[in-house]
Amino acid sequence: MDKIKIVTHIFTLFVVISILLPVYWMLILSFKSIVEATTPGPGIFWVKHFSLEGWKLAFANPMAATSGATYSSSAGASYNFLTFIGNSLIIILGGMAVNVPLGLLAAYAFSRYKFKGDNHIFFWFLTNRMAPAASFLLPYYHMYSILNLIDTYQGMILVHTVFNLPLTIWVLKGFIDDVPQELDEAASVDGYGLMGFFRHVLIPMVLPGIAVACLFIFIFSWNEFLFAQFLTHFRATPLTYAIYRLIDVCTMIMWHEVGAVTLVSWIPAAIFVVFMRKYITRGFMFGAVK
Amino acid sequence: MRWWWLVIPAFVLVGINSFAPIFYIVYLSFTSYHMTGGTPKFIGLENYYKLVQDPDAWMGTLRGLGFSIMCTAIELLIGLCLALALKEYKGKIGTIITTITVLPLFVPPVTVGTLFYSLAKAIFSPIPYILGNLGIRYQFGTNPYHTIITIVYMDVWHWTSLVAIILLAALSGIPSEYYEAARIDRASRWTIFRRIVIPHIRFPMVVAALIRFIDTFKIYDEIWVLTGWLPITKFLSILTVRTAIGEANMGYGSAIGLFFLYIVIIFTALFMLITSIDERRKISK
Repeated sequence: MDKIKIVTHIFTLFVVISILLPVYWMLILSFKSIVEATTPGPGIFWVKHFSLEGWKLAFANPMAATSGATYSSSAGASYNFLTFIGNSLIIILGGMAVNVPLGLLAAYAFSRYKFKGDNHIFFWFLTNRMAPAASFLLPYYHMYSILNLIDTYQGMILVHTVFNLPLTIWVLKGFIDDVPQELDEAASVDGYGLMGFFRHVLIPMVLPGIAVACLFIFIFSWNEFLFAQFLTHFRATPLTYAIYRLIDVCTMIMWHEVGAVTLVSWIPAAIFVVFMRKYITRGFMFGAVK
Repeated sequence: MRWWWLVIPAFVLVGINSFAPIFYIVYLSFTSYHMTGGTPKFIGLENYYKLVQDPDAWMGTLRGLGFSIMCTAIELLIGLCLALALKEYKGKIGTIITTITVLPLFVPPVTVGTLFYSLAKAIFSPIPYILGNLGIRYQFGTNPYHTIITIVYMDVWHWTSLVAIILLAALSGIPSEYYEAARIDRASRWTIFRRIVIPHIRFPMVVAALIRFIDTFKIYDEIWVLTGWLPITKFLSILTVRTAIGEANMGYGSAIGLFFLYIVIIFTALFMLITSIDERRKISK
């Protein structure tokens, strides 16, 4: 083994460890009792008394003590972090239901037809994703308060299409480009109309593309924070904002609960990287600049 | 040509979703409007005069640029090393290592904030503890250098893998004949790196750097969680949100938000220009 090989191994090991250490840190934090978790000293690096308090506080209690204090306005409601995960999922599934059909139609048009300014429109779609969310937030915040869309699922689903629809179109266009154009003509000769063509020919062929698009929608909606922070209060609050509330509002931070919910919020990321390794690089070149 | 109109529904939705807010924010930036009460009142360019003279806005821009340059430089360097290292691992072990490496890219940014809060800012945090044992008095928040180093480290932890996987894709695109030819010529490792590797990954490096630069310039979630109210991390994104919503000064906040948007658009245009040159280069080859 030569020197360069050894250096490579050490460096890679160092990177892998420095990525996994925070996971370990959150794991031990979530399995401590609150007293142990917040005691400084050498004991911070491992768990002495294994406890499920944090996990219970986050997911088993119908009325989580810490988050209960933060949402006093909705007295009497019973909820815990499962509620917020549910909210996240509703926003994500709603987003998929809007984005995939519209994205499919638009991606097909972009892929098959040359029309005036199509490149410009396509790039405009993409630049929408790159615009800073903070600038977009202000008009949304004001318009939503006028339209009474604050703290509603519809509002969150709508605002998420700003960055999800361009990505969906872009992902699906790549897949539709690979479907030979002769199929379109054959379908039209066979007498398929628009609906028939999409249902029986195109959609079955780009099913993997739809899955990829859905996974991207899932991960970006799941991770979104800024809009959630200001456009929801309680009813439509997704997980990300609920986690932040644990740290922001409470006088005493329940660190074992934070550890538990943080770990749960990382599960989709873990699933995503396992299934999507092939597409990540491409997806990031345009998709992830946000 | 029959079905070109299929683009219309998406076009309308994105149009409403992006044009309406942009027009609206332009309009708001010309008004004096506090959300505490009253209606928007047209005051012309006054918000912009204020913006030009506002040290917070300029410092916010400079801080953001400085922070982005620092993060981009470090991430580019480590990312390149990491890509070169990852290239050496083939098969199952390579897959596992790459998968672990890209994990931080997809965790919610806000939880990266909570993670580093617990690592650096809480009373039981390991970073002050370890550094304290080494004789360094680490003070997150009070010492601006410690704060900056910590948030740079946070960004590097979160995003270096992105640079690495973009460069890894470029590296695996280099035909193996090049390496074989170089080996026959008894070229040294350094020569191979300089004459074969660098020319092939020059463009991807520029693209990765720009992506990271724009992204870091727009950073919000982690910083808000970690240091939301510290003056040293008052970047444009935080300044915008804080002025417009925190202080309810929607008019002036919109002016800052637009200014922020313009800067990002300039960088994004640069990014588009460079990637389109790259595309053309690939086609002409």
